Amino acid sequence: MQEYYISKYIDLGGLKMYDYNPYVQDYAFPSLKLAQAYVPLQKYVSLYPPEEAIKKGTVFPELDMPYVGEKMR
Amino acid sequence: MDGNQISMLKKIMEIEFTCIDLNLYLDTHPEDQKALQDYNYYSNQLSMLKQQYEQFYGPLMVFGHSQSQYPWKWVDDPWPWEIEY
Repeated sequence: MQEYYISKYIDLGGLKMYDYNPYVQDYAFPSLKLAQAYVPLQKYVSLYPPEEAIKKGTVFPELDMPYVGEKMR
Repeated sequence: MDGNQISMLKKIMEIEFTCIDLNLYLDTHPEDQKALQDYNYYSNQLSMLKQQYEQFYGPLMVFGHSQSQYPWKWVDDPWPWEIEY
């Protein structure tokens, strides 16, 4: 099974593949590289009990990541 | 609205939330047997709870889902936004 979905690698500094594309040139910052994004495929581990899940906003403990607004200590 | 009705509604919302989240997981993992098993378990619980609730307190959804006792129960108070949980 495929583990990761990796986005198209776009490196405007070095890659000539996109040079012909006039739209890409509008975004090109030759000195900067674009980020490479990926999303790991979720695995089925365990579930919160329903009464807890609805309060947390997810049934999956590994997706329970409340936004704190500051660095976690 | 008695306490039993409120706690049944809460239970239904809790189980329904779990079903929805498993629904979303299964959309991207259609061959995950354990997840499917859990989804079916909670789905079954949900429909039993809804049936029980409707027997006592009237329909949760209108036509196509359940029938009404006499007299017509759909317009009974309280409306969903009037319920204090």
